[in-house]
Amino acid sequence: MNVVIADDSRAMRMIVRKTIREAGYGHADIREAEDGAIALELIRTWSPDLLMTDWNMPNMGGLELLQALQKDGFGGASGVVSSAATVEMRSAANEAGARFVIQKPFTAHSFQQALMSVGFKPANGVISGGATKGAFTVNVDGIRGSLAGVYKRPLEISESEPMDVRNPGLSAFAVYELNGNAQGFVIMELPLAASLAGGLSLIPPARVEAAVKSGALEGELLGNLNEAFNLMCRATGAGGKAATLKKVEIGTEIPLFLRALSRKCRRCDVRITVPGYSAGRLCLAAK
Amino acid sequence: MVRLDTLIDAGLIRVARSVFEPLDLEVELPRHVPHGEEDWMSSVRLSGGFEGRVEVYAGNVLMDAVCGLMLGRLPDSLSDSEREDAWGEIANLIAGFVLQDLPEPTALAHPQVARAVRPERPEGLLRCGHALVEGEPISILLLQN
Repeated sequence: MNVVIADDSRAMRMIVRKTIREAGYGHADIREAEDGAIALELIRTWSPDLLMTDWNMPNMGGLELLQALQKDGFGGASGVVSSAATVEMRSAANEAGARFVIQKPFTAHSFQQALMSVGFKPANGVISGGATKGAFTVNVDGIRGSLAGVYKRPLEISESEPMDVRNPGLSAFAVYELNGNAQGFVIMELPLAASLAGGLSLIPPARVEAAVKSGALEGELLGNLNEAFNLMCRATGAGGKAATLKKVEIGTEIPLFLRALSRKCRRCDVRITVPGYSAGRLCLAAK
Repeated sequence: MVRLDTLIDAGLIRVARSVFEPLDLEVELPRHVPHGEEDWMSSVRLSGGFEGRVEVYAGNVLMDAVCGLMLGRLPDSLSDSEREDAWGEIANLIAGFVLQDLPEPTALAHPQVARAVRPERPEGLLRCGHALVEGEPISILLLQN
């Protein structure tokens, strides 16, 4: 399935591309154009199956593009993705051959519905109610598996009450990416983070406790913390798709970005005891 | 003391919800409206049946988070142009909803993004809505030429 996205906003082209993937069309070969004139040239040479175009663009807007394609006898399907989806605009788009109009802001579900309406079946199955299927395993067994065989004595891991992502207290957190997209994160209460870090190279418990009291992990402890978060990447892996660790921070405030991301994620909250050290809660969340 | 009825434009609050709730951001009414700080302003000119513009003001924290969520990437991995482009899209989305209450045909121009202090009583102000998005203030202004 070959798709052309025409939009003068690079951010919006990226969002449309991402949403096409999330809608179950990861197999699509997608090319982009920053205005209608470039899109027209691309379509004439490449003959895509689908055009998704913005309405307001410089050089050649969405309407002129659709009209030009109509004259050409374009054999693919066309649709408009726009914030200005008025009655008048929809009518003009329809007359110019557009098979659907998607109003921004859109969801993967609305994209899938529009594409299915013009005969494109998603590869990953139908999305119901806007929920997307995640690529990662998010459960206690996954966490156990990622930390198994690493510590001198086995960790005690059990499900716990969900952490309050808005007010987790002094915590360490890390963000994971897959294919350049933020896919999930881990938050650990600081005593647990320090214990997991200390336990990796048997740093004396008194030193670990002192670091927790000071509210900062440095040197070997910080390096080990990064390693512990790297191990957690394995917990997010499914079918060989392991995420990469992108950012590690310690603080009392989880960034607004992560707080909002948590609402899109499946999550697993556990309590971990590191024998010889301390215990605390961990929240693993992934899309 | 600012009167609460000058803070709440129910229609614009609904617009803010329509734009930010799909990004899984909570939108609430503010108790007061901070003023005087330099914000990220995004504006879209409107022309045709209605001549004017929509302006959206928010601080760094909200702008970063919104741009990161829109692009699915960590905010600090975004370039300045990606952030400004995404923030411009927010004004575009808001203007698209506001457009539904304006005389047809009214067209949207390309968004502009800049640093600016939100004016308290700008000339041509028709509507003004303030909200909190995840506790961070945002202001939406509809101005007529």
